[in-house]
Amino acid sequence: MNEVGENKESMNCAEFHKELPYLIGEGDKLEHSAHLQGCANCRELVADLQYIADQAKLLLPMHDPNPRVWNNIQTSLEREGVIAGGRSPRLGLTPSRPSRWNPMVWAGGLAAALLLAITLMQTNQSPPPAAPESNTAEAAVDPNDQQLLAAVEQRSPALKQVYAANLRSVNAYIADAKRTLEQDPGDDGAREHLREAYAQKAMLYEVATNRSLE
Amino acid sequence: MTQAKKTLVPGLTEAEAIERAKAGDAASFEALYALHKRRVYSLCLRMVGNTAEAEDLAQEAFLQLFRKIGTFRGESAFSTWLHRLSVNVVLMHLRKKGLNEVSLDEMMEPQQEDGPKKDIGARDNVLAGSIDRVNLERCIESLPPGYRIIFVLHDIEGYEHNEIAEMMGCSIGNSKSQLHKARMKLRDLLRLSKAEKASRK
Repeated sequence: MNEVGENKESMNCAEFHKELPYLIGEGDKLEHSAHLQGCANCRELVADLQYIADQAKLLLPMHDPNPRVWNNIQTSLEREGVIAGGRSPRLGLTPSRPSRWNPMVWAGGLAAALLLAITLMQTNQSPPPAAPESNTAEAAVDPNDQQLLAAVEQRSPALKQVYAANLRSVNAYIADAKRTLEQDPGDDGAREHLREAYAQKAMLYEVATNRSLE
Repeated sequence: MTQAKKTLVPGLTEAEAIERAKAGDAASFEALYALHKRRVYSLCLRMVGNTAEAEDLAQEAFLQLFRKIGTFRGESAFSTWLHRLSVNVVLMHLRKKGLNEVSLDEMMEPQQEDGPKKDIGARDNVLAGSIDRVNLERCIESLPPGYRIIFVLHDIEGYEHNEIAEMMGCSIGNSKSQLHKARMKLRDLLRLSKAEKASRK
């Protein structure tokens, strides 16, 4: 615990904690805080909070709604006359070449992965934050990923970074879920996360090899 | 990538699907739903923490979107429009629910016992490098609603405090304060979880 200071430049821990909600995210203001420079406890606290925020940014939309949601939407839209009645064929949402995936799953995954890539390109001027150091080994792109990235780079160099970031992120999910399952093989939630993560990775591969991205 | 170049499928861009949907084309509605369902549903689920409610809210968000799609002029990205609409649907739902169960003030100010513990001086159990995503998702789920909503909007969905303040009808300072409390509470939960894991080894 630090000494009680006479002014803001040498505030104590309690005073610093009071100010923290308004300092955090303000970059220089926080970094140059005199208290922070002299207090290891508060530095650790700030590092933890920043770490939590960074990790949250890496969370993916992992859940798909039950198919009944679309059925309900379609029924309502038909009843309201927004769309014509009768089930029309899907508008080429399935890939034109044979696929081992169920079309609905494929379409959902493709959509999610595409959306993810597009969103990242739109919202981040710089590449998304890299996986934390401790996860780097597990989250690193493996040789297959490298091959995929090389292929993406050949066709669309600008997308390589986006795919690399997404692959790192999804690999980190896989590693986390595997680790949780190793600790508790009966953890159904972790098993579901693992399944979702592998599905997302498969979809990323599918999207990356889909020539429509060009 | 511009919106016009977003490709849903070979030969169909999102912009084209939007135009076709405006004309009532059922398959285009489905294509747009398929493109955005996961993100919208995940947002709803993270905000309300309940599968059935999240499905209802995702359904309502898409219904509102499709009813209004004729008014979409493309000034903003379609996904931004949909996303904002979805957040509003969830917040409206929570406000309505709040009339009977919990006021917005209470939603914004969780009970004291739910708040983060003051641990000035505690120096063990540093988190850096130890969070796994499965655990983080679980800890977010167990946050009190007021904290969870702000955390999801700011740290996961990337909204700024001024946008959150506008959506939630609170001050920017309040948004910052709630986010900080949410992160502190998450820190407590994650440290607890880390300690429990360590004790099992």
